Amino acid sequence: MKFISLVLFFFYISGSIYSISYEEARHLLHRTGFGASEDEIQALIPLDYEKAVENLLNNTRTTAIGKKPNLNEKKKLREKLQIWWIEEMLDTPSPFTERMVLFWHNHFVSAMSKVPPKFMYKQNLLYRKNAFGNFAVLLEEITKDPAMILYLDLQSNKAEAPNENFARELFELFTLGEGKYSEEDIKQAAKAFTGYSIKHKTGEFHFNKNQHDISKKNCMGVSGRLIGEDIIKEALIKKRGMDVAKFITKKVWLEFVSNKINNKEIQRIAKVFHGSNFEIKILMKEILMAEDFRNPDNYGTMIKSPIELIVGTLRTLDSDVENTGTLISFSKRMGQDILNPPSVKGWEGKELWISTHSLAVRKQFLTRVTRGQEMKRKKQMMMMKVSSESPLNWEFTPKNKTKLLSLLLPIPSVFQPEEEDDDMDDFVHWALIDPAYQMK
Amino acid sequence: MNRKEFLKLTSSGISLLPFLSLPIEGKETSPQPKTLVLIELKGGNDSLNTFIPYKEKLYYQLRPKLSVPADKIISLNGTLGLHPVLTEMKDIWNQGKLALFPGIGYEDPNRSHFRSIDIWDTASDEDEFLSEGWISEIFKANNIPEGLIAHGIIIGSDDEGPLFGRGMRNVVIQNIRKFLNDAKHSEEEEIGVLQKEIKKYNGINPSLSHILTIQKNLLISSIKLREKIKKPVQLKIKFPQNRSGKNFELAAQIIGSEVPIPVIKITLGGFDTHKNQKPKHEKLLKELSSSLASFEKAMKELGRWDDILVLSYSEFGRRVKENGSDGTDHGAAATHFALGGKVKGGIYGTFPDLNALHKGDLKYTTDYRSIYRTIVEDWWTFKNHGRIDIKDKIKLSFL
Repeated sequence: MKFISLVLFFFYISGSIYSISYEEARHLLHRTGFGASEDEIQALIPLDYEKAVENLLNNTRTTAIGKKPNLNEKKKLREKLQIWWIEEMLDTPSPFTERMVLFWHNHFVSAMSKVPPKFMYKQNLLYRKNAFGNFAVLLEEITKDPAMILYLDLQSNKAEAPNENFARELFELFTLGEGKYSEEDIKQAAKAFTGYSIKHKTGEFHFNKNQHDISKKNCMGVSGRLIGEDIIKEALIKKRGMDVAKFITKKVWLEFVSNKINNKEIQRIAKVFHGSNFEIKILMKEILMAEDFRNPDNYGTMIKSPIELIVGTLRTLDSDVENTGTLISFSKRMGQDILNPPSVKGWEGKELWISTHSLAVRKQFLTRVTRGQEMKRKKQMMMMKVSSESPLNWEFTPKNKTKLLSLLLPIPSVFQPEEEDDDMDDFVHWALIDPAYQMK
Repeated sequence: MNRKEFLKLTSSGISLLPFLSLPIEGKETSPQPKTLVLIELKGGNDSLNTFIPYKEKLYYQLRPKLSVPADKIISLNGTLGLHPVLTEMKDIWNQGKLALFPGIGYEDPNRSHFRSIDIWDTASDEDEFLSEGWISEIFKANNIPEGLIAHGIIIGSDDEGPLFGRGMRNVVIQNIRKFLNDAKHSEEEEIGVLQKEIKKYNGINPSLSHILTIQKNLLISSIKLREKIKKPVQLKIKFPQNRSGKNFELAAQIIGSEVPIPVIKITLGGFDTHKNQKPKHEKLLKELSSSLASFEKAMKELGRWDDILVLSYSEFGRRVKENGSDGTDHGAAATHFALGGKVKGGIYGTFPDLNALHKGDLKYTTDYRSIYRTIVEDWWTFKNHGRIDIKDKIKLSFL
């Protein structure tokens, strides 16, 4: 009898040891989404950590929930597309999906400054479709994507005069990183990619035989009458697969885990990623299960990007601003014009998000958001079960004040409240203005 | 401002005239700095219960609980009246120094606090997104003298609003007590606290440390500015000791110190009266009215009544029909007011027709930028509008 109760006691403790804590759930959500509402955190709490991670991965999407934007009118197409995407971020039941789309958008960079919005839209759909799919597939598809082809001038890469721009960015920025390929590799790859072009009106991929260099090439030890696909499949994925896996893993690490590189861990995870034949879900699971990710010392050590700050705050407070264009404007002022990164390197982000001006804009945004009681955002309620009230409507009690700080801040606030807060609006405002809120 | 300081400023070659009151004919006084005192009624003031069209039947029909009984209303001109607690404002009206602007708003009104106040602060259209405050743009387009210590003082909020912009020198005073008591010491303390935090996070959270360093730089600039504002004067006039009264008192003290500050923005909160509006709104209006009365008396005590222009604004008015929680929800057009020694009292504009509501809200009859244009051209006498689109807005003749 004693033994049985001991065993039961053990299972009781181990059950509660292994189920996710509030802070762990919040951290997991902050790092993979846009802020975290009380609802989202509570939804994970009954699960253990691994199940919570799997839950997030199982709920990712391959399509947008929002209606297709009308890109046929000529007016303000760029803004329309930006608004469409930000609304997807605000309303989606899977913010992790949109974070991943943002990641690919910042990795395989194209921009509206050079590419028509209709092709940027197509590219955005491609990222979503493959966000959690297979990286090798995504890589191949992106080389045939009209936005990418136009952005990196691939269509002017002809046999008589190969344009090395695409090949260089492919190796340096998309797959291997500097120093992992030779100039000759670039020349050979450029030849292989000749003939890649698109039909201008529809953006449909078109292999132009007349512009293709059919000569024998040798790139990274792979030889033959190589075409673009061969560079991807044979040279990069097969021959240099481990290097590609390491490069991508490191980038994901810097985006989701920490600014501190752990080469041993990255190597280990890259091996798993490579071994799975580049399944992104498997990579992301390893990332989120990593000790460095889970370590509480790691909480609140990364700076929110403008989009994360804006979308995260509105999702957490469940506020509607009635004209999403204003959020695009604020994000621009903070340095992130979505769908329009400043260069092929994308947004370097991190500490560069913060300057005296951008910090002033970020604070102005946060002050405005708590100005008064807004209408709830008309979400696609079927998709997202919103049961709890916006924190702005919580009763103003000491218990709720503590609860609010746990919800909003990844680490204890830097400062202490000075004035006597009048009401929940004032207190939420104070919490948002604390420097700790800039972190995730 | 004493003669020496005045000469120093004007000798810089750039005209300070827009910011100075011209001396009165025949009087031997040197020009005094002029100040625009903006009163932001944060949350959306229910101006329909402030400046009341008490002859309109619909007012009582649509507001069975919230409407003010006609016999209690302080009549101004036979059709428009004041909420009963605004007795002090009636005095200013009687002096001929209170101007009212009914039906102020804009096309396609936005009903979110966030977006709508952005529109008012940047003087934009509903579908236009500008990043800097309208006063910031106007000042930048008109060669503001370098000798000006600060462009604006922000009291009661940390939102610079119309004064927000690159290169603007604004002083944000959130803690009045701290600002008044030995300003220099407490600021050195503030920097010390930040320094400590920066050090603490340096090893364990370098990104946060970076943010705190930027914040420290902002604080240092702000402290340098604050130090230059002389210790505010003591006044004989008593101000109500509530939030509103203290904000106005500080503004009066700063004006009294004679340091030229073109704009003071005072934010009064609590106007987002969705629930149980009657007692809340009445309290706010009473505080506003008595604070304004003290402010008026203080200005007269200092001999500066002619040098100030007080102007109210708010992100929107409120719905005509009361809601189910004894309150009102976000609306559109609203009545605003201005007062000051140089103001020509009266009603400027048409009160919106309650029979012709737009989606249940009062439809605007005067674009809010008409008021801005009047201030730019008649109060400051500026010629340039910069990027602010006000050239086609009809001016109001209250100055």
